[in-house]
Amino acid sequence: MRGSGQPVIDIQGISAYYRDHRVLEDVSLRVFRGEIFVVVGESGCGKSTLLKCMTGLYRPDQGRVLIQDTDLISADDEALLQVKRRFGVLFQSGALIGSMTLAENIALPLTEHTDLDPGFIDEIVRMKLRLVNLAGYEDAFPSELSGGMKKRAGIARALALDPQILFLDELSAGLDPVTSAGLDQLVKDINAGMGTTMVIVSHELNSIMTIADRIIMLDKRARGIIAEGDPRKISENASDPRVHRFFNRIPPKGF
Amino acid sequence: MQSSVGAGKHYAFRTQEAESGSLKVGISGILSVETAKAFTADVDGLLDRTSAPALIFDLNGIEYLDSTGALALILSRDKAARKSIHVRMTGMSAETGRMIGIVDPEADCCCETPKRTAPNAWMRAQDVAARLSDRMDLICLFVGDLAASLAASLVRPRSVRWEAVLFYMKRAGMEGLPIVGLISILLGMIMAFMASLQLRMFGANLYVASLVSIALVKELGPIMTAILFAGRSGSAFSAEIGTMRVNEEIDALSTMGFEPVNFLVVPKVIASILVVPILTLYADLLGILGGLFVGIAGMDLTVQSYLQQTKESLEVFDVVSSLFKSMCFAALIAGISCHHGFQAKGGAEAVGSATTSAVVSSIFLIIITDSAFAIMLHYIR
Repeated sequence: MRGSGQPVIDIQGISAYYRDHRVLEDVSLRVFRGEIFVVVGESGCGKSTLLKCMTGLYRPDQGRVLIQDTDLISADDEALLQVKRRFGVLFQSGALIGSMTLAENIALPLTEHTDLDPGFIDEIVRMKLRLVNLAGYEDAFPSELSGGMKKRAGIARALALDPQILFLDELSAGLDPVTSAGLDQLVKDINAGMGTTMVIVSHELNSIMTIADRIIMLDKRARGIIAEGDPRKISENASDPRVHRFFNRIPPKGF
Repeated sequence: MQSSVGAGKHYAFRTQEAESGSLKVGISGILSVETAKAFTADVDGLLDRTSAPALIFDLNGIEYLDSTGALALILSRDKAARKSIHVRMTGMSAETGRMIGIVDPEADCCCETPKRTAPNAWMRAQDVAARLSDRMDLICLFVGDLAASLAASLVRPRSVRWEAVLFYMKRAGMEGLPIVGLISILLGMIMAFMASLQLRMFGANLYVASLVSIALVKELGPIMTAILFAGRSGSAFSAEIGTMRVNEEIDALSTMGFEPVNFLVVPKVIASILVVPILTLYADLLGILGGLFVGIAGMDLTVQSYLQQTKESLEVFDVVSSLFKSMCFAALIAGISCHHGFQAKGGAEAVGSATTSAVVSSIFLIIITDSAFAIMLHYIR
């Protein structure tokens, strides 16, 4: 089922500007059901902007962003809310709410958006925490957790409403290799077990090679996509010097 | 029996007799976070009614199952088991099986869970006492630190960041002029008006000037200014330092070799000590001006007689002591606000509560110090 069927995310020719600085120009891409799609590129190339366009936090100036056939740009508030329920987002720092316990953080979208019984919601919360190997931490506060645990708790919260798409921003930034490998495994397990489509922004070459089904690479000067496809193939036969530099960790000239 | 939920999220629940007395339950359609409630209700109803010793969940018709739906299946299996009804699931597709596999609590190993024991009253009392003594320790440390830094900056004035001092003088002083002025004028007017109502009965209109000036210069001017300063600037100091603490900026400063107290607190305290007496003087003047308006407009006093009376009722000692008092207020407000900022730990909420306690303790300290001054000044004279 991987990489087949109709696209869940279909981006057609979007452009994004910050003041008069162009970040993305005429970018088109498709993400298919059940695949792990990774966006890579150097800092400032518009990865986060692209992610914000996909999650509806930023309206691109041109183009269309279709998520399961709903256009994020022209959709009304009601339709937008419906779409937003179908995806979960893990923010770079976890963005857990500091004044709530983990259980309350995860239960928040459930109590807000569903009419499930409190007892059943508790069961769901325990199940999600078990999924991310944080069983028993229901009553812990985010400030008591390590970086990797915060990320995992963030994933649990993003999974609360059983989204079909999961956006993960900088999954392994600032984590040690072991924790980071654990997170990669977790992402793969969730993808395999639940068939969730994953869109990940990442810098970690190792992690990209392990988890990605398909990557795109953005470039600051090109303001768009300079490479697309299987990361292993791209890294082996990169003809573009920018792609070659990225995968071999070579700084640009004059750096 | 059949139930369906909405168009587009259809789900159906059918029961039929099967061999050897067991009941076959056909579940089809979408079993997800949207339909889990209906499914749970259906199962609960069935378990209440049925007398069958075994149930067979036929999952063949399931088109979409998410983890909430899978959890609902497992929980209903466990619920049935508690009523000693055996549940078997058949017709699972590979995807359904995978989903149930990752959700089932019995499937994965039970990792050790950190247990928290509920503290009893004695433990809680000990905890509170320990925290209180910790807090006193911290305050003493902070006061010592601050005193040492201030003394050091007296000895070596070049070590103070004077541009920061000027910045905070502008922030806390100049930008506070409108609100302090407005409140003082109104306060003066109100006092003069209320006093005139009483004094008019005795034909002692002129003494309104004495009352307004003495009350303002000795008590209300310094206190009102200090409370406004605590609300405007004390809260800002503590929120600024609290946010820096939460963002690890203070740790960064320490590792770069800056003394955080020296770098962040000393400029604020010096700026406050310089600016609050000026604000107080300004508040006194505007308050007297407010009284003057009421005196002229409502009580037929002349400007000259009002000012003359004001001059006679005040002494230089009163003004100087009140300015000294407001200097003490300033040091206390700035110090305690910064101290609370440093105590912020955690996230956004911690900054909020640090700011609250900064303002509350500032106001408390203002009142305490003011009473101390009232007694001391009484004996000094």
